[in-house]
Amino acid sequence: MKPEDKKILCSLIRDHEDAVGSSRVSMMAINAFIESIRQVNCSVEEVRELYSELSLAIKNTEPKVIPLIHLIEEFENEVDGPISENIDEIKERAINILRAKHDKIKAKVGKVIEQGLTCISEGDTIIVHTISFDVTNMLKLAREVLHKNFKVIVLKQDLAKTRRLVKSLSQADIDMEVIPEYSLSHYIDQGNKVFMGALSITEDLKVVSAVGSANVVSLCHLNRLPIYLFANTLKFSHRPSSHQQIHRKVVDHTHDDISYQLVTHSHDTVDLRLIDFFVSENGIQDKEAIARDLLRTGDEAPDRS
Amino acid sequence: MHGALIPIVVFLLVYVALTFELVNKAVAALLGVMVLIALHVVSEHQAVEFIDFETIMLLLGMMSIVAILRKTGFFTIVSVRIAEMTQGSPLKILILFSIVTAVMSAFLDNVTTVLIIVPIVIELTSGMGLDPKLYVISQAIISNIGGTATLIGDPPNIIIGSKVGLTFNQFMFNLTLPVVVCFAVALVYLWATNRDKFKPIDTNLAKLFSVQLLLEKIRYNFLDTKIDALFLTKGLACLGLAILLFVTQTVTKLSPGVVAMLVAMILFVITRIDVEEMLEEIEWSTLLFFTGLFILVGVLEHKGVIEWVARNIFMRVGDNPYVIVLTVLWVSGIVSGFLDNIPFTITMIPIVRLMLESNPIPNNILWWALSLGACLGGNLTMIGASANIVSVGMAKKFGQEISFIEFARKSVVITLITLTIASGYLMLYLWISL
Repeated sequence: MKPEDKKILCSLIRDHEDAVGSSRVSMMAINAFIESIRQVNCSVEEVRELYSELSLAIKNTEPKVIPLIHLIEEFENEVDGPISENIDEIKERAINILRAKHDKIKAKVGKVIEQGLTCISEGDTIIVHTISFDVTNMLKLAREVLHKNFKVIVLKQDLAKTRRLVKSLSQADIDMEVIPEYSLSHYIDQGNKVFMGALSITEDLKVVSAVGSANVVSLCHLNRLPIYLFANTLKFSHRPSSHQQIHRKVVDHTHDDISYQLVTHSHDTVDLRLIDFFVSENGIQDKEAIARDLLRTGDEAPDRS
Repeated sequence: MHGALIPIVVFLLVYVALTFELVNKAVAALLGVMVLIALHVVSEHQAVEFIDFETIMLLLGMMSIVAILRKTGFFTIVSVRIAEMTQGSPLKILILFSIVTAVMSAFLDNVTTVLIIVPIVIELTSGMGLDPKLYVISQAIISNIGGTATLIGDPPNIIIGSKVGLTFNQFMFNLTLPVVVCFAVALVYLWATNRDKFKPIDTNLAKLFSVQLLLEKIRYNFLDTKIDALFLTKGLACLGLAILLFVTQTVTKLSPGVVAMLVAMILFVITRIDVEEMLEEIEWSTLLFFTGLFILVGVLEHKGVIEWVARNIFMRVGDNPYVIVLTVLWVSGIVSGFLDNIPFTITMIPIVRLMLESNPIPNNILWWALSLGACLGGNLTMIGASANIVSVGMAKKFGQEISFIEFARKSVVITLITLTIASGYLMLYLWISL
């Protein structure tokens, strides 16, 4: 695989993860994998190498998309069976395995949403910073299907992401207020809970989440505002946060008479101890349960099935 | 030509201001008019009589229809579906998007077409690691070629159609064939000169994967608008009605300007759209620019300048109809490559009329020569047509800077080829007609 192809793939996954969250991008990537297998023109001898090459590239993006990596690793293990002489059969087998992986994450996400819906109560004022496509859908479901009345305080960040979030919430007729991220201190008394998503939860118990979320979580935690983390168990990583390959970008800026280099990171890390409720497909764990099941067990990652 | 010096000087100054973009084009034209009125070269009542309201109505009507149609999200759906159909094949991207661009620009204005197509093309090609510049330049060129096919496709055609009284069908019947040939040849040229960039990707699993992921991203980015089916149906029904009325113009006796305005007003009523908001979408400066130019050229015509130019420059080519047609075609083509083709067409209409008076050429062939020259000539340089400028501007916004030379490297040869095809077609048409 050429380095420029690898770079394109990496930036595509990163951009898309930034827009829709890691679970949704994992589903999209698996669909893309299926479709590309269907279209690829190769011989029986080449196919295994092509799978490995692509799998390796997907597993080494910056940042690493943990749910996708788990699913691709499972795919690699399962596809490594007896090889047929017929290319169509080989392709069909790989596609079926990938379809099962897609269904697996889809089911997990569905259950997280199901659990998450019970976290929204009448009259809530929920502070959101960066929430995934699926958590946004959860808010929409709560309003449109369950007809719950609640308010959302949207912390404005980059224009594209905030635009999408605001658009989705307003389409669902959800009462909302958009404020700059840095004005949160003026609104902290109005909110009664904070919703956040994660790219992964690492072995050293850090939540790798959207850039800017560390500040928001810290301020909310200091003000005793309960923080809800929505993540399926595929987001647990076997490795520490230093292995997460958070993307670092350096851009030259020139304004009038000054020039400088601006360094940005694709994600923040947040201490898991700051989280009050962990919502996964297995249920809702409060601070006590998090401390018991996640923090104490440390290196023993929870259900990764 | 008594008293012609002031209007000539004003006209030339306006042309200089337009060419070098010294001021807004509407301001340049209207300032010229105001100077002529202030110096009593023309009275305000006389000035108003020079305005061709038929053209203004057609432009205003079509701008309104297009503004409402854009709001329906229809064009975005079409573009995303085309992106899906390409499956990331570089050649398919070129061919399918070019077909859509050509068809769209035949029925909408070219600027609207590139505003819709170019962002998706850039997203798709840059996401795949292809060179977006080649695709952006090709879409700008194709939009100018496609727009040549119909009366409403390109401003020079709107002006010729309205001022000369040529119908929508006459444009279609006479220009579709050369336009289709020019379109096909331009695509073949683009493919032949960039063959290494159009290699298939079906043996590269990683590239296929990136394309599929990219298509997911495009769907997400471009289809996040809820489509109002009723609004969309009304919009498309009205566009269909407008095209039907254009085609049946000889039966209904409704001029294109009346049709466009009528349909636009019907659309405003049945969609109950916020009129104020929609009116903001209208390019008022373009309409004012047209108004000013009609007056400036009208004054020149009134003072006998146009007749002098026609007799002393264009009629000097002799009375051979083949030479006359080729002169109009190539002069229009080359001049439109460097100057805005709108003022050029407005200036040329009275000149062509005078040429026809002394050398009648059958089947409106001289008008088709003017149309083909002014529209296809816009491709010659980056500044030759509004669609080129807008496409290059959008590419810059996406971080893809296209220089004048880069554009010219592709566009000059294509323009020369298409003008040669147009010459062949017109010669053949003239030979059959004589």
